[in-house]
Amino acid sequence: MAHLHLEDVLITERQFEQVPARGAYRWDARVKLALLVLAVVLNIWLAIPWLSGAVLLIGILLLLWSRPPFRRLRLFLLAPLWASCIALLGFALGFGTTPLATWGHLVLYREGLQQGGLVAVRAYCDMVWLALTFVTTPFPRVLATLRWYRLPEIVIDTLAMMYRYSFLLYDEFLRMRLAAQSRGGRSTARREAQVVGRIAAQIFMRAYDRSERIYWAMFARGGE
Amino acid sequence: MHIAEGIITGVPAIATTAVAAGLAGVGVRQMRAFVKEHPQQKPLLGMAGAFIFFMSLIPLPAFTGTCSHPCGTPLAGILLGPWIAITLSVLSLLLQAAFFAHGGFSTLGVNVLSLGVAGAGVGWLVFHLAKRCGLPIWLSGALAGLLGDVTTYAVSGLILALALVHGPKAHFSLVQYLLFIYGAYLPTQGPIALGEMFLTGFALHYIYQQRPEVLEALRVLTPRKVLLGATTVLGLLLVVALGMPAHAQTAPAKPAQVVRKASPILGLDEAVNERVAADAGVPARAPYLNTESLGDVWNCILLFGGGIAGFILGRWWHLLFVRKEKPTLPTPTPAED
Repeated sequence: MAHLHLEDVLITERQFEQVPARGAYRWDARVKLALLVLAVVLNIWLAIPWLSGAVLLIGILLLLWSRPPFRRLRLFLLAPLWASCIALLGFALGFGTTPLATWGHLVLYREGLQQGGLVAVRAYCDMVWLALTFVTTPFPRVLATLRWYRLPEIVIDTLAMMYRYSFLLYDEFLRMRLAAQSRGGRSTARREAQVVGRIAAQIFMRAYDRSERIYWAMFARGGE
Repeated sequence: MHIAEGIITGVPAIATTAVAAGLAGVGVRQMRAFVKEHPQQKPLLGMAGAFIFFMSLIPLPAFTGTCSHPCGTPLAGILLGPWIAITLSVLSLLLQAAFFAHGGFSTLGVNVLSLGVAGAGVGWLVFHLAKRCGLPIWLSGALAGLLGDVTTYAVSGLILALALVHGPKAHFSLVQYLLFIYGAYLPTQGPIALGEMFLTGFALHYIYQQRPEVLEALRVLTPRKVLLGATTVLGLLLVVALGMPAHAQTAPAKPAQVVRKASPILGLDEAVNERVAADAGVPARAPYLNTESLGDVWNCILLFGGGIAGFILGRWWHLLFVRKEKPTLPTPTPAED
């Protein structure tokens, strides 16, 4: 599932430098973000089945044309898969009046199957457009675009900090957890809970101290 | 706990996104005030956002269209205040959707209501109420973590059940869907809620032990406007519970009379007031907050809320009239010469 792999994000960042621009890579990030919002509005807010299908098809074609790295793309394909399958089954067995098949107490309904299928189409439609926007756009350009769309500065700065320091904090968490494991600190459930709480506290305190150092470093360089 | 893309559509998606945007707007103002007060802690907002981001990236499948994981928002709510935590949860959900296909854009509003409002709001509220009642900081934190998590799951389940029960040709009632969803949540969410309880309690305990000045600087230990916060959080939760538009699949609105025909006994409102109003040319319309549609769930909520409020008032009413001493920080012993 969606575990955090730094490599998956870095591979996209490297690709921006190595691979010649094609498809959606060449588009302006402002256009891509506007198209993403439009796709979500058409797909979810209007919720017209044929329209969702058409938007999905256009998204898939654009994605094939752009040829983003599969390793990053697979997350967008696999993450909604289980949810879509469960939704399909849940709706197919729980909604409708026209039975298609029966297994004991379980009845598969035509209307539920259609409804579940629509949920899957809508989920994949949004995911394809999300991939098309964010896999083909470097994050600094996304931030610049958000700035262009007049989002509050504080929000963009916080978003940039989150992106920059997320992996660092996670790496610290993994190192501390490994150190605790190697010292036998996770032998019992109670001990493990204590250790994880201690690590979380340490991470927060380090983040607190680091934030102050970052501020003064930025301030010294003329930042605000 | 994310509600997956594609589950909520139409008016509910628009309404929840608008509410989430409004709440995030308030949070942005709070963030500006925080940065003005502590300019050197501006990067801390990003760090705290990153903390929520990681906590909610360990997914486990649960029920139709959802997955489960620790929230992290109760702790963020306690440390930075509920409004900032709500905005950080918006940003964290955006990053998760953009980079890890976790959650989604169209369900952002719903997820903010459950993770941000319920998780951070209730966590913050429970922590300060428990602390005001004289409980130690670790226990207050643990209770906040547990109840913040449980409320998040409860709100997610309620929103999902409302969406399902108003779907086309739904087979079960709201209560049945709720029982089914909560029953399915229990095996995965129960242990995670307990984990969040320990995590929040221990984390606050260790921060207080090692760096109490951090909690003091973030005004975690000083009294806040708890009653105002309580009213706001409970009001927002009530709106989430009752105001969730009844038609998840953009079905045409049902007239109020159709619903009321099911009941053979008419009350004063229906028998007299509405009749007089209809004769005067102002027919009754469906209420904006339709508590009748919740049926026995509404009675259960009232009963449960009344019981909890009665217990709290009966057990700790005397504290309202007692001036509490300001919590003092452990002072380091002076070094001997």
